[in-house]
Amino acid sequence: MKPGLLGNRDVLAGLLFAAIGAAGFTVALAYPFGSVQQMGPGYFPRVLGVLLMGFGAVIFLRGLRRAEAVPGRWGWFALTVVTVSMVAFGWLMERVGLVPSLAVLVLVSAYAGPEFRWREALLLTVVLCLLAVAIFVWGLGLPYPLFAWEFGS
Amino acid sequence: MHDVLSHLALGFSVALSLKNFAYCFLGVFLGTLIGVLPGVGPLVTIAMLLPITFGLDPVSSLIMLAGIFYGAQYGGSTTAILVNMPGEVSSAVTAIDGYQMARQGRAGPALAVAALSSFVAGIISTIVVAFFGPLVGQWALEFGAAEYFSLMVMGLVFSAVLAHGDLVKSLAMVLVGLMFGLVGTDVTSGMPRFSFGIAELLDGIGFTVVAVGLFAVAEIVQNLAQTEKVEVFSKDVKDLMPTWADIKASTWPALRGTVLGSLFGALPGITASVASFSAYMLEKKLAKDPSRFGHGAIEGVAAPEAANNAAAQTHFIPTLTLGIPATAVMALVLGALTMQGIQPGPQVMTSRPELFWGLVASFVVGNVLLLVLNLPLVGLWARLTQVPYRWLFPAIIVFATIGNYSLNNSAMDVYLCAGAGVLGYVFAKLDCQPAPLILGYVLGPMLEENLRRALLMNEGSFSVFVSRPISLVFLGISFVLLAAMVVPSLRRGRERATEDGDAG
Amino acid sequence: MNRRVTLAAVAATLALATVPGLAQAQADYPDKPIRFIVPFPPGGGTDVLSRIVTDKLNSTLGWKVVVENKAGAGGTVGLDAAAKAKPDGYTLVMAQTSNLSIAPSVMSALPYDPVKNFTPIRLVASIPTVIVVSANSPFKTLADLVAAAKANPGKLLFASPGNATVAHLTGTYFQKVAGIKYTHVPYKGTAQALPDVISGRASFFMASIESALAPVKSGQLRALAVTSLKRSPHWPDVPTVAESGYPGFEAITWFGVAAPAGTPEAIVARLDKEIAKVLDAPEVEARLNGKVDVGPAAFAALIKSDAEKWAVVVKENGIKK
Repeated sequence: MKPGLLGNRDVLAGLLFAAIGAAGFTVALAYPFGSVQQMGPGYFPRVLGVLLMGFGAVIFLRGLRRAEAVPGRWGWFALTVVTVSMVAFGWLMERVGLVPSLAVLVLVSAYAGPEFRWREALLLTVVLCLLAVAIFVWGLGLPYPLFAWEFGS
Repeated sequence: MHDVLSHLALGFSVALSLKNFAYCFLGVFLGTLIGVLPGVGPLVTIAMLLPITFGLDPVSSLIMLAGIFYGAQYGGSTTAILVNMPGEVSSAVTAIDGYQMARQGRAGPALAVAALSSFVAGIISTIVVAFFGPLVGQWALEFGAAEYFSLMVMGLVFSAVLAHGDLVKSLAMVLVGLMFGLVGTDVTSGMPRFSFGIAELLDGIGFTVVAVGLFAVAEIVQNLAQTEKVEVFSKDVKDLMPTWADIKASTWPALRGTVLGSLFGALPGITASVASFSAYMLEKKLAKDPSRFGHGAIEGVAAPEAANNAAAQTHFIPTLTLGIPATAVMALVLGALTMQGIQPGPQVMTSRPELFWGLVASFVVGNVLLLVLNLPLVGLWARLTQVPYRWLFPAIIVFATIGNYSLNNSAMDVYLCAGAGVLGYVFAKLDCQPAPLILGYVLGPMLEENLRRALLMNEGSFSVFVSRPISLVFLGISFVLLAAMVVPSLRRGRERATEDGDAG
Repeated sequence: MNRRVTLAAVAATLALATVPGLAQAQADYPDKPIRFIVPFPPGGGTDVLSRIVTDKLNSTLGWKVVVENKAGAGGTVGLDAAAKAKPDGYTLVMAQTSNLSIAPSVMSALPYDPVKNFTPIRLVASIPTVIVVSANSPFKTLADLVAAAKANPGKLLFASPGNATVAHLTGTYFQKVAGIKYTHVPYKGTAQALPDVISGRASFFMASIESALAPVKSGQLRALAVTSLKRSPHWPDVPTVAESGYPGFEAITWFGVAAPAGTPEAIVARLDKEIAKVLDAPEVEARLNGKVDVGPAAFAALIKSDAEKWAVVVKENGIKK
């Protein structure tokens, strides 16, 4: 079965590389280019950008010819949940302290798994919170408040 | 020769005194524990213990600091193998094959071989330090911007063959790594690049942030996203200890890795990364069946582990004999020495023989302790892979996240790590390997900085890269390697390259 | 059973951590841990310096001053965190020349105002820059170096531990004072620069005296001059730049404890007194290599005068960070 363009592994990879290259190149336009003898801060990123766009194009074209599908399915759910759990931890950490942030991190990330069970997840949260507090705060002496309430600013 | 032996005897009498032995044990023990946590590396530990060491005599404090350092180096490999979470640059290589072995139920042999190769490398490189310390120190001084640039080029060429799979994609990944490495303040001009006004980005993105995101987080998402229920780790734990065949297969790779590690470790600024990547590359080139690499080849664990532990030992050479710290940890060691009133330099071996030789001998003691400490733990660690994955993965995320947060006590590092995880997952789905990206990322800033510095210092003339012999040799090797890769594939047409790509 | 004990401990800690921050009488300051922000990673010079001070405060007074490394952007991230913290005396920061006197002129979007957002408390260390050359260098004195730079404008290579560091600005400033020109070669730090300096690939190097101590003492580098007004106790026989024909030339890196602006005066005075006592302790003096005695007012004046001095250098040379 031939995959469509959006399911074509190398077409997507080529586009991604080219996009990273193009983004880097564009941003680097703001930095002085200099010359080969006296390279400015913009020289290297622009050369890299062009190279990446070139590689992206080659991979894209090869993808069109070979047409290999992306294996398996995309795990958008798991990806989103895991990412959200980490971002939430970072955001909460500076506001409510270590323990509540950790609880959110564990509970939310555990939800990303295919077999989520409430009781297990809660138990896991308690165990991991204790473990993390013991290691990082009591053991290593990292200066994190266990609980806090600092909103505003 | 006789001199060195009598000095070593002195060293052992120092290192084996009850007090120093205890500090060595304490250092190695703490180091191993700490090394297992990502982010919270030896640097934080040593910084916290530094005030304690003020009260100790110089030899004891140095022995303990050294123990923490190489203990942590070893500990970092444990998580790389077990859960694909490299805490240090050097263990990113170990993760490639080590983690695959763990998934196949061979975490035990992988960990044991890592411990054994580290041990062998530690002992041999200690001998290197003892006999050739000052010589290696002088070698390190020969390295200017041109030499570093050419060495980086060689490292990048190595990386192209590093990944199993598609060469073109690997090269593209190296480029992406180089691009990410540019984030932050440009050393040469002082200009901030790709920082978008975010202060946290001015120093660049931390290595642990990128590595943990690309490797550990991406791997977790991949495992969770499987439709059909697949076991992440094989339930069938074959054997805890390596078989005789494993040992035989690992011996030469470990020895070759030791040589590379000893050489590269002495270069200031080059962390163990180039050494372990090169060692891996070399084994893959030498192997009869290179396609095994990336799928749990034991050589892929033995060689980089040996290289990074050897490098950890020889890092002390420039620190002690030149007063030039090779890494941030060495800078701490240097600071500790200076505070104790000891001036590192070529004369430290003669002016303070008990210190230099005591430290060298403590390497041997420490490595023995490390082995004794870790071999029994192998079984315990290996059993960790039998914990149900739905319990294991939140734990990995917790340690990865706090570890990254603790780097700068900053939420930005956690956000960036989550972002690296997303990117890592997408790349993995598109069959692009993270290892070349990591190497490009580590070497990129140094590559650019040294290229521009070499040109700046030589009035813009490129001749410096070929007129300096060491630089010429590196460039020559890179060229030959590149030719050896490109020519056959041109001659034999595309079919083989295609097959190779599909294997990955 | 065990778990219950640990839970009890968690609860106790929780109770301690959330005691409401009512207006405490200054008499019982400090009644909770003090957060001491170090804007650089653990193990660096700033960190070690900070820990020497905090350890002594803790051991002699029984305080709980906790170091928190908040690194990033050359200290900007940590300073910014301190600037935005509650000015209740429970947040302190170890600031230095580059954060308070150089950053305002080199950083385009500095998130804090060095003068308006901070209350300077006490200077802890003042470290001169040193001009060093390889032991094999033909330059024996500062005059040799200046003469060579005059004869070959722009040819000498001036290595520095980074753009917009005190050493870089000092070197740039010296060009103007001495009427010479050389090429600046920035490195990522002292360690990265040393091999090029020792081997003579770079003509000379400027760095803080602490970082050049080891290779000079071991005979791999030669110190030509120091940039403090008085000679350094480390090297009484190394002349100052000022006495080598450039009177008044002074460039130092200082480190000092500051608090967010608005910290109660009584607390500032208390901290000033206690830190001064710490600096007086002989073992601290030995660690810090000499003593400085600069209290809140003089510290504020120093921040201002250095800021003015470096702003001119930065402006005239278009230096960026």
